[in-house]
Amino acid sequence: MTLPDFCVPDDPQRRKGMLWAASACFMSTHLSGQATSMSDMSSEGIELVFPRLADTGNAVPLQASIRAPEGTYIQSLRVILPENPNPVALQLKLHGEPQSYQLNTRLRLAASQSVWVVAAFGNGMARANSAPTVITSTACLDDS
Amino acid sequence: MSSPILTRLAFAGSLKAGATVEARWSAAHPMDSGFRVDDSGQKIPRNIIHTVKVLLNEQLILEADLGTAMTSPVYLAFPVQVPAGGGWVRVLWMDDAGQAGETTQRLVV
Repeated sequence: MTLPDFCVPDDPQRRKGMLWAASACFMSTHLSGQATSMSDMSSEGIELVFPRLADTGNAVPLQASIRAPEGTYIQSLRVILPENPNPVALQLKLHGEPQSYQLNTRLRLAASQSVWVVAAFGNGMARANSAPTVITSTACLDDS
Repeated sequence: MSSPILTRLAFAGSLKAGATVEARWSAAHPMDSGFRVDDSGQKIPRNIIHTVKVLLNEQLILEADLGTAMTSPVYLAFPVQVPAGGGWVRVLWMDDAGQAGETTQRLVV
C-alpha cells in the first residue's frame, strides 16, 4: 500500500495555520474594536500544563487554568493548534460568568508545535498563552 | 453507524453546596478525523462529536465546539459549582453522522 498524504488537506493555506488561527482571534476581539494577534496578547492569568515532550501525538493532555482580570469574567475559551490540518481544536462558551476556570482535555497533534489558549473576557478584552511540545510521531499516520 | 457510544461522567472534589468540583466526561467515540484511509485506500469520512452542551439543573452552563484535534475517546473536564441541595448534570452531544446522546449524573450533596 502506498502511503497517502492524507494528513495534508488540499488547502494550500495549511502552512499559514498560524495566520488562520490569528484571524480567528480577530473575530473574538472584533467587538472591542481592535484586532490583536495572539502573540501580542498578554498571557497574564493563563497557565498551561502541557508536556514538553510527548511520545506520540495521539493523546497529549492539556490543562489550562484561566483567571479573569479584576471586574470582569471569562466569556469564551479557544484552544488552537496552528500546525494541525484543522487548527481550532476546541471552542468553549462559558455561561454563568466565571471568574476562573480550569479545563482538562486531551489533544491529537499532527506535528511538534505550540498549543495556544485564547480567553475572551466580558469586557471585550482577550488574553492568550502558549506552551510548546515536541512529538516524535504524528497522530495523522497512526491507527488509533 | 448506530452502535451505542459508551459515555462516562464523574465528579472529583468535595461535593458540598457552593464548592466547585471537576466534572470529567468522556465518550468512547471513534472521532474519525476525515484524514485517515482504510486498508483499501478509501477515505474514512469525518465523524467526530462536534457539539457538546452541559446543563446543570436544566440550565446551560457550557457549550463546546470540538474540532478534529480532540482525541478518541473524547475527554473533557470542566468545573461545576455544586448548587445547594445538589442536582443533575446533563451532557448532551452530537456527531457528524447525526448520532446524539446524553450522559446524566447526579450531584449528591
